Amino acid sequence: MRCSAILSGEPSALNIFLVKLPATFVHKDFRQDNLAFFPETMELIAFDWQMAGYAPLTMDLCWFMGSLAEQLDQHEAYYQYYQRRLSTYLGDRFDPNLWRSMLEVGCLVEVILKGSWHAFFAVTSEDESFRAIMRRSVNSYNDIVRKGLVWL
Amino acid sequence: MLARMHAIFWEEENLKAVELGLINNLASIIPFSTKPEHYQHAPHILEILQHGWSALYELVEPDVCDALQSLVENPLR
Repeated sequence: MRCSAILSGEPSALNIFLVKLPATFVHKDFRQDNLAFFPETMELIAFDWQMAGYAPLTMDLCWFMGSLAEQLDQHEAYYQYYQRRLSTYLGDRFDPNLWRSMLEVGCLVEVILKGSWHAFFAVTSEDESFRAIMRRSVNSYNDIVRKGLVWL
Repeated sequence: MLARMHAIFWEEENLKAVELGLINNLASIIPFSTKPEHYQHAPHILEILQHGWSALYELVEPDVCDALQSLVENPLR
């Protein structure tokens, strides 16, 4: 029922926006728990590829940031670092005009995917510091959602 | 690592091959189901999701709550 309703319906503004974005190979569960660093060889290995797909890069980037809620103050710096690296690798293929919209809608999608989890722990965690981290994450959603909606 | 991987496969037409099973970008943004029948073996997950969405709607500001409810109930339509 859910699938048939989706398939038969008109695409949403979010859908329309996402399908226009450049796609690439994405891990789709890219987070610290699925990474291992080997200092002897300076290799970083990613595990758990079963959800890999072909999608906008934000499916990895924003998911990864969502797993770093305790470093919320550093997110913008991390995004900028990633942007610099991607633009270096892509050269002329990197579109700086697309970057901001792609990132802000990507963060909105992240709220849809992970918001309920963060909110749950923001109100129920017995660990006061963790509860505070989750509360800060949820508080940031107001700006994230509003910024993302602007592009839809 | 992440930026490099994304750049290597940027707009790679070969990845659209159906046999690879990678064309799932839109299904990826459907929120986790909150139907009890989907969590018969993991009821704690259902509790997190149901309680989590209620909490989220209370914690964000009203306009954001409205927008999120609309997107979550029907993200692809």
